[in-house]
Amino acid sequence: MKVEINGSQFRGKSRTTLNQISQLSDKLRRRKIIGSNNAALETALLLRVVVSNAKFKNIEELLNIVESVGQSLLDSQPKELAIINVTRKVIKLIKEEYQQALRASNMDSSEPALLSSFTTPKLYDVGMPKDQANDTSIQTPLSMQPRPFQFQRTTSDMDDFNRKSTTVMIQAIQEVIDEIETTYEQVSKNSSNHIKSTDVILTIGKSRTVESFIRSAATNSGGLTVYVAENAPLFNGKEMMRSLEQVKGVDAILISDSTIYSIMPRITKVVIGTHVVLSNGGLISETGTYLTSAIAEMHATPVICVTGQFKITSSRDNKDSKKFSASDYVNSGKMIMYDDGKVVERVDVGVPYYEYVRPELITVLITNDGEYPPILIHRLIDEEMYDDEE
Amino acid sequence: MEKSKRFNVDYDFVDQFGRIHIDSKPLPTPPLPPRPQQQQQHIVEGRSRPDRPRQSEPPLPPPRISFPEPTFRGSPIAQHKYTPERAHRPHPRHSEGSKSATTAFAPAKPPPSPNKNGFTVSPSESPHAEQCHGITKQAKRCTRRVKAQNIETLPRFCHQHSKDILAQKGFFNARGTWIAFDDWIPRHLSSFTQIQLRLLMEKPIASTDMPGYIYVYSIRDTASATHAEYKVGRTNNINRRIDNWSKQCNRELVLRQYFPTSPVASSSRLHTTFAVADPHLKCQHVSRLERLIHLELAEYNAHSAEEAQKSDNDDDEQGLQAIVFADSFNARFKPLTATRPRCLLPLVNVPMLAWTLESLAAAGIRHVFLFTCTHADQIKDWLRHTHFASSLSTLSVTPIVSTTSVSAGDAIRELDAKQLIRTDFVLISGDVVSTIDIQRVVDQHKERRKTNKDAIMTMVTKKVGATHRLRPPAESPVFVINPANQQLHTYTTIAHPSLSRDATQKRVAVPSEALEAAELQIRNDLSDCYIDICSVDVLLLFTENFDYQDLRHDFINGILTSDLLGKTIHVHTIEDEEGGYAGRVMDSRSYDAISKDIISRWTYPMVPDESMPDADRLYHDRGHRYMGKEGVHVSDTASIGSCSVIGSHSSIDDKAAVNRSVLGQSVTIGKSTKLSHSYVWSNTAIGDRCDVRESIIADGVVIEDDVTVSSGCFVDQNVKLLKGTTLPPYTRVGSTRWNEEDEDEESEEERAERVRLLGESSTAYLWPSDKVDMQVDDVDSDDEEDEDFQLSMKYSRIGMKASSDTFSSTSSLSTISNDNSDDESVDDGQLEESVEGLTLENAGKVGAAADFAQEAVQSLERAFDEGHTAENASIELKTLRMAANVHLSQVRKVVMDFCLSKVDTSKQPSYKAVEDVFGRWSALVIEMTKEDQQQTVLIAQEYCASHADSHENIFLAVLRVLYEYEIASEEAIFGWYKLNAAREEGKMKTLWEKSRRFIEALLEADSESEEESD
Repeated sequence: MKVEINGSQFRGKSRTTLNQISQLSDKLRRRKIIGSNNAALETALLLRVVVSNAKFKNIEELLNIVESVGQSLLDSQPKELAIINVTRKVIKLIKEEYQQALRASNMDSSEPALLSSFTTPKLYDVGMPKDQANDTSIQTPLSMQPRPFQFQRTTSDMDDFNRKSTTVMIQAIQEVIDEIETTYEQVSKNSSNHIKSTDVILTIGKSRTVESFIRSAATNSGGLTVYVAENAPLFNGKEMMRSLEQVKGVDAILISDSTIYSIMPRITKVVIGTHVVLSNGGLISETGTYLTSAIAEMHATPVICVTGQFKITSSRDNKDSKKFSASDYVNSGKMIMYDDGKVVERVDVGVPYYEYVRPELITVLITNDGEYPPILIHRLIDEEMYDDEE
Repeated sequence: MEKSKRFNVDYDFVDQFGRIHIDSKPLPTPPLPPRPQQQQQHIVEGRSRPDRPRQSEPPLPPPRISFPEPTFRGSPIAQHKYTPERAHRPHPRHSEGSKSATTAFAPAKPPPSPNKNGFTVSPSESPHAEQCHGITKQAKRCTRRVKAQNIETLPRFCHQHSKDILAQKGFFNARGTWIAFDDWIPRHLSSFTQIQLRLLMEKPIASTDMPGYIYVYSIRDTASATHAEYKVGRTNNINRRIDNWSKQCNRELVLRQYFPTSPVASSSRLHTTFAVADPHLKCQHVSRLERLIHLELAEYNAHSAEEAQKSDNDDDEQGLQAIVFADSFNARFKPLTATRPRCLLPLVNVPMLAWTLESLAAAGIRHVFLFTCTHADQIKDWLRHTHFASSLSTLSVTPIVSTTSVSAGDAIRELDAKQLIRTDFVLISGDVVSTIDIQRVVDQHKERRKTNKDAIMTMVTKKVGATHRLRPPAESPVFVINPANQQLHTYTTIAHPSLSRDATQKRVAVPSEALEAAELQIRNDLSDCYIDICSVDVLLLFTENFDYQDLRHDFINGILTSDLLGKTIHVHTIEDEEGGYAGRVMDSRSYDAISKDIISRWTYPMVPDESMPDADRLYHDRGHRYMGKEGVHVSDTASIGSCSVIGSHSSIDDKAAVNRSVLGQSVTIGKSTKLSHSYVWSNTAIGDRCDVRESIIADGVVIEDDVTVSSGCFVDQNVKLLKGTTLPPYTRVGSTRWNEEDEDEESEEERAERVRLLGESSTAYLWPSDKVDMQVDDVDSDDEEDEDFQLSMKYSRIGMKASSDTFSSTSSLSTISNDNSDDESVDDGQLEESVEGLTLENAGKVGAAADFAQEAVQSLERAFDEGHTAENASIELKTLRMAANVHLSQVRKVVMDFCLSKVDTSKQPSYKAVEDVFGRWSALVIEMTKEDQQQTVLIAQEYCASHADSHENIFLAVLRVLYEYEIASEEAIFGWYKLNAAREEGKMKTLWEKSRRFIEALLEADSESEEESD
């Protein structure tokens, strides 16, 4: 259910919260915040503020508020799908948190027990490394959670819950924030399993995840040759080159896009980043990725896509472009100069920023939460990330 | 009061805030390990730390490991930006924390009380000097004065006593444990800080000092490249405390670190946004600890405390302000603007003003004064319904209504009278689309103002090339700029040489002092963005010079040509795509151009499919086709060309073709209708088999079947075009009648025309395009020639393409009098050439040449009629020449032409007639033409050639007279004879051939005389 976001939903100086919501959606709309990682982080930070200031009578109200905020952010920038992924994740965690609290209060209705039963263990969850924290949540027997999800409203507990639950929920959101912030390290943690010192890597464009992955691989293997395709006309491969140059042990070589084909035989692994991972395992990523992956397929070179889990979206594919047009066309000035009046008048230029990459072209997706073949992404989504009702 | 206020600020930053401000200049520190390691080390120490304070209770050592070091020294840090008084005065309401909270705030304003030595240190008495607190060997108080720093209540010492204190190695605490200073105090601190720390450590601990936590938070979104804002404080409940602060500051705070950290909770996280503090693990005597930390941090802060204060002041400003003119003060869009303001006309389905306001909001402008004259109610009403009116918008818009202003000058004078603007501001027109980072331009402007107080204005221009759709072809701006300091020396507009008869004669005057510059650029490739960064002086100048009307022609030229004012104007040029886009909708031609720029995403990220929260939701398809997200129906057989926008709820019927056009919401297009390069606003219905080209169709229009709308037509809202109507090019159809001043009745003629074009039963009216255009515009351009003006009007219309084929078709008009001027089409290269060929002259007015010619002829006329002496006439001419500052060649031509025109050959034989005139006025002619006699002969020849019927036969006579009266010497005539210009095809050639006889005669005479002399 969608609710109108207004001042009445927030405590204290409601304007503060509303201001933050509107400022973030302005920034997203005006492209001041670009990229899944930034968008996801900002969304999570905002949701933390929203939850801590929200006024709600029951859990549904809170969830509605959170969802509406996420939706309004997505409306202002439909191209950053990570926003909605983070929102869903937050909703899921809030529900879990609530569920846990509810169970605790059912088991022991006395108040201090309620408090301690869900604060104490959670405290340590937050501090634990991500995989351990996940283990605990997996250990929670699924059978104990009533499905489909039902909210049991017990009158006096509810108020009590409101007052004390926010802290726990904020902790839950904090987990999301931490996850996003540590994505790079988590993704590159297992780089040594995939990259050996004998490997010759090709990458295209600029991705911080890829950069950190290569950095870690280079440290572990003691030396690495990396070819970086410049990715014209965006030329962000040059930026990538600049940052890889600083990395010790990386022998980085900048190549033009047209040489990708001829250089492919000597490449042993292609490492790419992505903007969004679709539920069929396909990618929406920077233009040039498809070309690289297709050439890699011809040469049977494995294509490794490194990504944070928050980029995995439940949208099927991009055929329905009306719903989300993730293919973004940026300033035409990347291609021709605006000051050439005659050309500008007679030539139409489109510079697509993102393109769709078929799942068959991807060998493996390395996320901060494990490695998956593209074909298993939908299961990951179904089982791990969101509720059935989504 | 003032003084104590200053104290407050200082205390605040020590006691409440770790307002740390470190220059990027490295402190004399031991080399730091790389960051990750530093954090690691920090965690290790943090783990061992908590036990320590409990063991050695009284002197709590300054925790060297603590937060500041890794973060602060790694990256250059900052001050707390907002004045604490303003942001943090209210105390936290929570009762539990209130005690510690109050103590934290208390030192904000300490009473100047006697300290323990019995000396009153009153800030008002000695703000800069204070007596040393050391005791000499004679057991007397040291009398040295030391610099007071206002931040410390602890005693200060002179250099000698400082040394004494620093010599001590440590002390015994209350329990008798030896505490070595070196264990706790970093040696790289200044001796002052070290002493303060030592003294504080030695002090006994107050009994009220409770256990608690120390926290550090940073403020999100305020960090810049060189500064970040942190606060270090103490509390006994971290999360609540942070919550309190964030509510009070209205900012989002990020908890960076806290102490003591629970060993369990510590992980390698970047931001510890939520504290998980162990309630059993509190730091003892947290107040003392906080004090020590602040003392140490103050060291870093002291470096730039001054700077911090300064930027505090800056922050007091409300942010950048802009003045937006909602009115354009001309009528180029009539009748579309008859009933509504121009700035609300939709540009790619979004009102122009929305584009402008969004541009400003994205550029970080905080406040806009929207100046409206006509249709103010509509603008205000519109504004109320946009997201800019919301209290959450970062941009606040204040409409200012003035019904009396008829020009931009009036508007600015009115603004000045209201005294609303006190700082530098952005002056922008309400029809500009821009993605320029205006803030950066403003910063540059301010920087320039620091060294040059007279730099009152910075104009923003974009490099676009000589022929570009953004530049009006008939009045393209030309800038003369000194590239060294971007100073503008001359601003003028020229027409494309193929459009205007006298484009090549247009002169650009450059003041002589500008020529002293090492380099000077004359730029004909810039587009004026109509974004000006102005200082307050601009307002004053407008008020002082009440005749300034137009911002460009009057104001800019007024400032540039005035020696008295001594103000300078500078130009900021956006050279590349990174700099952003800016264009102004001046007329329907630029409306077309900017629409196309928006559609082809030159204005990214301000593009139709995002960027406007209130607008129709569109999605972008390849080929720059934009479709509404809701209810668009396009027939399968219809064709939508590239670069088209189809608004929501529109429907396009079978076989219709839409090419490079913009359709608003709920537009219906009938079968087999063709639409190209046209703009159809919302709720319009176009019937079957229509043909609409390069026109603007307003909202609510009904166009029946088989209607043809040719290039450049405007169809006003709610007009109904009957079946079979054909509108000729540049027709304007209004829903009301056009009223030119007094005519109330529709004349017979008018009616007949209307019926002929629109049909008998039509209720629409024709608006005469030319007259409409002229209506208001003549206010600011009365001194321009009508022809010029009409030309510019003509080329301001949509459909009038500035493409080169149009130019070549009109190039018969061209009088580029270069040697090779035949009828070849004018291309870019030639245009640039002719611009280079603009005459540079020292000081003088543009357009003075024409005036001079007229006046000179009048003066000569008087001299002839009234029989003045040749001397007097020549003096008068010279005076005129001085005043107008024209070149001598100009004078020569005027005089020769005039004299020749006075030769009347009808009554007398030719020689006699010529001698009559030149004999009488030879003194004048010689005086005026003596510099270049060769040229004089050429002028005479040209005149005779162009007036062939009367003067063709007297040319020989003229030559003879010129020779005999010594107006032209023998050499000059020979020189002339050899000139290429004299032998041009046509009349010139015949005259030249005729003159051969005379030349031969001269040569003979020459040789004869030579022979004689032999």
